[in-house]
Amino acid sequence: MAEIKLKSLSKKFGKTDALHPLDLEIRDGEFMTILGPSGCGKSTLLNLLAGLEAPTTGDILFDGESVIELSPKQRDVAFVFQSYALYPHKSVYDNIAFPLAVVKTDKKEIDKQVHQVAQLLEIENLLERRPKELSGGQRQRVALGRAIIRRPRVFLFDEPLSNLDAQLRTQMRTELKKLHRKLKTTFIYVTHDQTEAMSLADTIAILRDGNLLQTGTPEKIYKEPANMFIGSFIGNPGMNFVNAELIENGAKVKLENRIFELSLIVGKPGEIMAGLRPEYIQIADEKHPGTIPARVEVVEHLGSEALIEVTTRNNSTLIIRTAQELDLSMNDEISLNLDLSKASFFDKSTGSNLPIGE
Amino acid sequence: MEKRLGYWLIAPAAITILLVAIYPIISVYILSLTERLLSLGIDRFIWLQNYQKLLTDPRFWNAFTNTCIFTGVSVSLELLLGLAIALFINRPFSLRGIIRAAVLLPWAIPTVVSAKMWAWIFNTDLGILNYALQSFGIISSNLNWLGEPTLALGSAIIVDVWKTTPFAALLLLAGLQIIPDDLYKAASVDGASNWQKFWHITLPHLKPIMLIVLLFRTLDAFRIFDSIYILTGGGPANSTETLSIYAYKILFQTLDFGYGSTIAVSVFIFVVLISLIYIFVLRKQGSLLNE
Repeated sequence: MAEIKLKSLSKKFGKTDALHPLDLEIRDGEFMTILGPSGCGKSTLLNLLAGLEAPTTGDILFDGESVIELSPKQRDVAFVFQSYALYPHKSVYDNIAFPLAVVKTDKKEIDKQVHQVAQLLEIENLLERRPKELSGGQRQRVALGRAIIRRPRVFLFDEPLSNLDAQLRTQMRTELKKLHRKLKTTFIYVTHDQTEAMSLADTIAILRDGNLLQTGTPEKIYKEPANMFIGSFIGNPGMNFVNAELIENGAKVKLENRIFELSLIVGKPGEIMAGLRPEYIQIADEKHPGTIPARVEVVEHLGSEALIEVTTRNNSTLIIRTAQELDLSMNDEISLNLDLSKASFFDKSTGSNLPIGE
Repeated sequence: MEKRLGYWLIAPAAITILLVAIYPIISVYILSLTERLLSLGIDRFIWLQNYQKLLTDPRFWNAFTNTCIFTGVSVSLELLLGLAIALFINRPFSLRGIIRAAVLLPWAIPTVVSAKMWAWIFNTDLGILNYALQSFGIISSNLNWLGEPTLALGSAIIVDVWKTTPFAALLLLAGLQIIPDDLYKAASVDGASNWQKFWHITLPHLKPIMLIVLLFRTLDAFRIFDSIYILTGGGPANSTETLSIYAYKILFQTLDFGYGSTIAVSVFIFVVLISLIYIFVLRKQGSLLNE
């Protein structure tokens, strides 16, 4: 159990900045996911936390104490790898027992704990097997077992579900969540999969090009993305962006030739970007003055819902999520209701979110 | 039809192998059952009498002992030194590329050249080895490295180790490079010391490759001929005479083709036995690792 603080932590490999100085706080027992596209520095961050790499600047505190000088062993963290990193020549039993065996734990104690962990992960029947005789899901359970057995202060996960097929991934996700609830330990979980991050995390930290862009609950990040990148990266499909104009000192927004009155937006009047989640757009039953005309381009039926791609008169492409049973096909002319009260607005040049005043 | 065509297509290769490999082997076997001394004009079939002679021939057993000592000591040293070198050059450091290439150099030099070079290094009066040892005060008078029966075999071993350790190092280095880095990271986090990482990850992964190195090197060393022939010619007092050198001398110096072939066949039998043992062990090992 540990509360973790990162203070202006950075890492350079030669001349490349893998991680720009960042500050981050992780509460004791929190499930924190670090989300970002590949090459954003998230694995580097995990390696720094584990002590597998030394930072270029900054400090890492576990429960208020710096661990920078400590070896991975002394930091008391567990690491679960995307490749599982099981010892191929050892049985499942010996793999799980390894962290205890290297510190010369009593054999009976090891045996007791291995069975406890195996029971927890429901892999008791696999203990005699070798990793190559296991399926991907089973291997990841063994890797989890090896992490759990030490009762570490922090669990570090490096894309642990990426090598699993979609169905198994969903199942393991639920199990990880349950496991976190049972163990009540700090989990730090790195992934590039926003669905995984959204469904698992208490808090998400978004990294891009070695910069920490935003931290917050999945809900907050979804509803109030700090910039356009996050808006499009989070959500499946991502946010729709529409050209808009801020007028009358931020009191009104002009969009698709309509004027919307909103709470005050703090920003310079002029061209901005409006960000609309696919579910903030409704298809209107009939044309009336408030609606926006559009033409259907693509209809994707996903079972419980449908995604409809439309083009507006101003040539903006929007994706609409709808649960309605609609009989639409290409080139149909429809009308849209936009719910701008839930929309986000962004500065067009920097892409950052324009705060909404009271 | 197609089957017959297949046979026709492999026929040239099969005939070539038959002519260049199988025929000489069989003829050596047949020779080993004859007494054939060109100098005396004797040529007759004597069944297994040559083999009877072999078992009671002290010079054969001396050569056998020399071959075993040479093989055992040089192969063990090559494996250990090769492992040490491989571990060293596997670590990232500046000039690694140059060092890696330099390590291979002894192996790239033709044996005749390196043996002649070492013969000069070992030279009693002019050799650099005696000069160096004397200047460091390790020896007080020059040693006759190749002329002293107690030193000659050791000297031959040094030359072989110098020459073929790079081969072992190269294979082991390849083996080291395929060990996934995640395993070492996992072991670090799991609290393993460097020694434990070596013992629990490196060694088990290298085991199949170490067996391959041992197999190749044992077979090579057991048939050693060229470097020793150049260094000492099998002397002094037969102290460096190996089975191959003994066979060569009987065959081409004494021109006793029957008995010489018998010694050659004995080398063949030992080599087959060694291979069988290794193949058996390798099979057992191989099934454990392949992921």
